[in-house]
Amino acid sequence: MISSLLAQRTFWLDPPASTSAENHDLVFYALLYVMAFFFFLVVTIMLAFVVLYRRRKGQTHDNAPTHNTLLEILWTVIPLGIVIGFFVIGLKYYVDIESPPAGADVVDVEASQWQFNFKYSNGAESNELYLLVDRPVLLKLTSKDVTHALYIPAFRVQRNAVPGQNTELWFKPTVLTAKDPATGEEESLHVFCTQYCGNGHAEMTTKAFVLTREDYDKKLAEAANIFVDKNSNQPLPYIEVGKKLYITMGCSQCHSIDGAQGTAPTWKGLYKRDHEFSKSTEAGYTLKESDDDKKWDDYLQRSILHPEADIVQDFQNVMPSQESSLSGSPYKEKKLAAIIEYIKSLGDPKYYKPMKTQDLHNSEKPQAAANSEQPPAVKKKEGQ
Amino acid sequence: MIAKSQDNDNYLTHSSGISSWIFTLDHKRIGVMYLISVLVAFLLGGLFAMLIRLQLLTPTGLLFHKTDVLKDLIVYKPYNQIFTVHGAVMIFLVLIPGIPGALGNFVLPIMLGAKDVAFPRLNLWSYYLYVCGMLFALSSLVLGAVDTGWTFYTPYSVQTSTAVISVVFGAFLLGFSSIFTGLNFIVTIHKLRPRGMTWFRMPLFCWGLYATALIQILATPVLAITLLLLILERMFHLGIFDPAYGGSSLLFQHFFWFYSHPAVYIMILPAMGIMSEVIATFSRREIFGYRFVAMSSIAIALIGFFVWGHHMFPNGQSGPANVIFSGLTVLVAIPSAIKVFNWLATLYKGSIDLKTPMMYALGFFFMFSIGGLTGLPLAILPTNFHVHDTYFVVAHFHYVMFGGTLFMFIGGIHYWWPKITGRMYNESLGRLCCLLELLAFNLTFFPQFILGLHGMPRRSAVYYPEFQYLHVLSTIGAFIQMAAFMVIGAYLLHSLFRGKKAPANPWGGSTLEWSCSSPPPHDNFKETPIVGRPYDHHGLEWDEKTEGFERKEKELVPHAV
Amino acid sequence: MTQATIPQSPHDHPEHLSHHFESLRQQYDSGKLGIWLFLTTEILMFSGLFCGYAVLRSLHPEIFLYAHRYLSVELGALNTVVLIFSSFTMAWAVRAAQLGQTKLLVRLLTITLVCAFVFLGVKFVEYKNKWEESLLPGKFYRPEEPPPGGKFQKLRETDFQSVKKDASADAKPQVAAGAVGERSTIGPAAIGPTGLSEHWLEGRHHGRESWSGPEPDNVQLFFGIYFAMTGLHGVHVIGGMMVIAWLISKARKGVFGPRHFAPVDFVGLYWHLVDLVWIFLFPLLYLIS
Ligand code: HEA
Ligand code: HEA
Ligand code: CUA
Ligand SMILES: [Cu+2]
Repeated sequence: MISSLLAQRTFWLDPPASTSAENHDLVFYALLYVMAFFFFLVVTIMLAFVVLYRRRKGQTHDNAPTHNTLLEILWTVIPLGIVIGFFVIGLKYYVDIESPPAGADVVDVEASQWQFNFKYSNGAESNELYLLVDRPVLLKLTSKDVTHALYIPAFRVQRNAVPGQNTELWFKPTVLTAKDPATGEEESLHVFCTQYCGNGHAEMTTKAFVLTREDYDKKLAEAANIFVDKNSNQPLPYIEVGKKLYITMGCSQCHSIDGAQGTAPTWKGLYKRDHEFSKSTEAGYTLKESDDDKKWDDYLQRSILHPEADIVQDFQNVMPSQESSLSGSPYKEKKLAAIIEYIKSLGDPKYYKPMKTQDLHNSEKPQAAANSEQPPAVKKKEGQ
Repeated sequence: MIAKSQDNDNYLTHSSGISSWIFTLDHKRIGVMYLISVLVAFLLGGLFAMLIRLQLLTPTGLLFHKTDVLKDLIVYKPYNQIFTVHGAVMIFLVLIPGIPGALGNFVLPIMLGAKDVAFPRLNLWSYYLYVCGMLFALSSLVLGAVDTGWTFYTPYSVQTSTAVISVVFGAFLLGFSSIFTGLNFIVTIHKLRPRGMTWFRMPLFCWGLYATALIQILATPVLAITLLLLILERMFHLGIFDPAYGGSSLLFQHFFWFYSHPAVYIMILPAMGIMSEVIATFSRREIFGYRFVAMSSIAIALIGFFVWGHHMFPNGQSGPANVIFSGLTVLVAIPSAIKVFNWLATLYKGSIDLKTPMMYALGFFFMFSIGGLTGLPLAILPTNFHVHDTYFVVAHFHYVMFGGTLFMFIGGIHYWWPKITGRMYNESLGRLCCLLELLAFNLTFFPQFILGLHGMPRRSAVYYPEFQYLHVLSTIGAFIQMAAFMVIGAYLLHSLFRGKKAPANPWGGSTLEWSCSSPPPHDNFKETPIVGRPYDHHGLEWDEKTEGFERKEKELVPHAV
Repeated sequence: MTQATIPQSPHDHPEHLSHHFESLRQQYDSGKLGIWLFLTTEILMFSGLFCGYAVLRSLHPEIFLYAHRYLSVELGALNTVVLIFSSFTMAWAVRAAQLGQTKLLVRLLTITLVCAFVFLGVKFVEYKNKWEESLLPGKFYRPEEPPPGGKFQKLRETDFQSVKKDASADAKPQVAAGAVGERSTIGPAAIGPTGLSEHWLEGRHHGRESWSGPEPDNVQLFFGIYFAMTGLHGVHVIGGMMVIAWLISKARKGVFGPRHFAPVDFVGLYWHLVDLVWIFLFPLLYLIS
């Protein structure tokens, strides 16, 4: 089934792509007709009266009525009936919106300035949303900083991601997004952040793909394993992994890698560059080119997990701690190492000693995942 | 004093010098000062709107976009500041104080045959607070214009580096200005009505202002405390609204909308009052179903207090709350429907004169119907989940606020212009601009409904190319609007110097303000008049000599109603 | 001028009648309605705060149970008595004004003013203590000591040491993930910055009994609310003192009498409101368990 969703656009709405979208369109078109009816009613009567009763010399209508209780009650009661009718219809579908079917796939959505991070039950993470066709999916949203919202127009749904609160959203996609036969481009659905969240709000968009089981599993396995090259199935060098994480974890929002100054210090040449701090854990703490690797490693790690600890001169404490986003992942240590590796690679080449790819396999848990076809099992949190 | 008052002594010439204006207690002068300030604010808000439209001309942003050098997302910040300032100026500085402050102050006491509002000194204070609030709010333009959206949602408003405090404090002062105006009007209406004017003989503009004042008094204090807490939140991290300190951002939203939803009725109710006046005058008819129209204002004001949650349907509000708010919201549409139908019925068998104010009133029918009716899909839950925070909402509120309130504000200015300034403006230009305005307005905002339905989020500096053609239409419309407004401004200014002298009653209005000279004398009426039915057009006939309407058969004895 | 009549021209106005009113009666009624409306707005403003209080307290009862012990009930009670007494003298003052007993009026107003001073003085002492103990809102909250009181202290003097916040860190308080995300089959959606804190249920069970668990999260919230409410109330007290002082200066000139007592009456109403607000604040903040 190849669907070119864009081709099916209508004047008012894009084609529906989920069960809730079909319901929505039903209600919307019904409303549209009623609205159009009343609008034209009002405007037609108005124009007719203006023409019929325009001011003419010597003409008066002294007998015109000044009230008519029956009429007035009628035009109170009829609209009342109509709006209550719509409220009831709306209620019916609303109950549907609020009741996710049992057994829906669960995807955790973590919104932050300014990206979405989707976490699947196999531990995979991605910035794009992968969905299974004809399977209900339940999104559990939360936010790391300010309020965001996830909106997928093709599904006609949105829900805020509120810091400190969990919200839910479910839908059942019904139409596949396919490759465009002409251009070979993969089609996708728009995903927007609709709650204003700061500078990058307008660009806080991503794509959703509605896939067959086969494609879906492939995508998730890929996403689950950022440490393996998807073509050759060989372990990737740390530096490559770090490069990916730089984008997916959102570091790129503030840290540049080309020396451009942004909200936060550029990573270019950061490693073994002299540092002054406006605030640090111990008084007088500085970093020098000459400091040993250990001190630098500690610093880099601390800056990722507890960015508020040391603040580089001339910068503000704006970075959120990555502790939570890393600790949710089964690969915390490896990811951390990969990012640090990437930062080091951007420093002065004379200090950069590439870590061996082999190390990837030697580190603890994720090893199994890296090699097996099956995505790693759900990692239970302690105490659960 | 009586002997001194000559025919040409009016409130404008009564005394002179700057301080005679700054320290005036005359409600008419205060009204005029309000009018000028509000129009200046409107110009400012309009200019910011033009910047919005320019930016949205191209998908990557015409004014603020990423370049090879500047890739940081901070390039969009100016856009975010612009729409925030646009929204905040239009709402807090133009629409909320606009009709009550400018036209209400001028007209209300005269309509009641009173010499002034109940507390003239408080009235002046309201104006001062307005000016201070305006200065504070605008000072943020220098200190770092706010980029939170006019809704100031936490925690972003706690986090941003812009000058939130000065704007919020400005809005706080504006809130008090609004409270004092409302308080003044309620007491004036209760205590200063002339003999013979029972509640149901009040002109409907007074009813509109009365309902507005009720909201101003009951809702604005909550805004005040909300804004105060927001300021404290920013200064001391009080934690009530900031999740990072254990508070709840939803709580802020509840507080904010508890005021700001009623506030939209603060904006529309006086406009509806003007609508009633204009329709009655230009169709020479008593308003059809006067009591229904009057009581529906009160109904809107009261029900309007219980629907605020409809701004937060997908925001994490609980299911039952959503249902209740949705149900109440559809109810609040009913009194508006009653009004619309009653106005329509007033046209029936009237003697309709398409003067400029009447053109605006007809435009109101057109646009408020669209704006109000599109409130329905917003109020019904499943449809709200699609269009919430998209351009559909933007289109909805411009239709009601611009097409509804602002249209009647401009219409009201045209209606009372002869009374306020004593001059007539160019009638054909007036009609032409109104028509142009109507067309351009629809060109600007109708495409935004479609944008919204296709999923274009609001408050976005950039967008996908597929939305572009609709944005281009919208921008074209906006520029035509600006041109039309400039012409309106020009002929109104021109009339001040070259306009024909206005007669006491140029339109055939039947309410009290048309029975005193234009412009009115300092004390409005030498003796408190005795009044009968409102909208009694009997005996009001065109007089060639004065080029105005004159009451031919005096009717001093009040009718039995 | 023995009777308030409708004036025929501005010249035979009674002394205190503004030109746009027709009679003293009308002027007085307008003023009365005006002041009542004003008081309505004041009440609504405070009720915003009370709503916030109610919401936070129902979400985090444990915080309130825990933190109110930092407040001094004695000082609060003292202030309550002082304010109630001042309300009484104020009411009497209105009576005195109506009867034209100028001397008594001045005396009563002065007593009221003194009471207000006492109230503020006590408040100052309380604030000073909070300040010294760093019992402040938001990030400034970092007390050294657990709150005093009853079995609470016995139970957890030691626990407290272990959970005590690092007084030097002014980072955002670490907030427990707790109940957040427990509904998810795949672990917490995120460690949100807040949410219902762990002790929420416990607090529920305890009902109005005293809190005895370890220090709950987000205690700083209580002090946010405390300072916001008492602060706003304090500002109103100061406002009241200014108008009372103005009344005293007028009263000494013998301005008020049976025909002109409206200002005293209106200020009196305002003062009762200020008193009333405190009567709600006291149990809500000080007498939680
Ligand atoms: C003047 C201001 C004004 C007015 C009068 C209204 C009037 C109404 N508004 Fe609107 N509204 C705003 C200003 C206003 N609004 C603003 C500023 C926002 C957005 C704020 C922001 O987020 O920035 C908003 C947003 C808004 C939302 C939230 C959208 C969202 O963010 O998800 C909703 C939802 O219910 C809503 C509903 C309504 C309804 C039902 C009415 C009703 O009162 C309308 C009643 C009128 C009619 C119904 C038309 C006339 C009647 C007829 C032609 C007869 C036939 C009628 C029937 C059959 C019913 N409005
Ligand atoms: C009264 C309210 C009001 C009015 C009149 C307008 C008028 C206009 N508005 Fe706006 N608007 C809002 C209230 C209003 N707006 C609000 C509340 C928001 C939400 C902000 C937020 O999201 O936080 C908003 C947001 C908003 C957006 C969405 C921004 C976004 O979400 O990204 C857009 C986009 O097109 C827009 C456009 C316009 C345009 C083109 C006009 C034009 O029609 C303006 C034309 C007017 C002029 C150009 C002025 C000319 C005046 C003179 C020349 C003086 C003449 C003197 C006399 C008449 C005497 N507005
Ligand atoms: Cu995230 Cu807008
Ligand atoms: Cu609303």
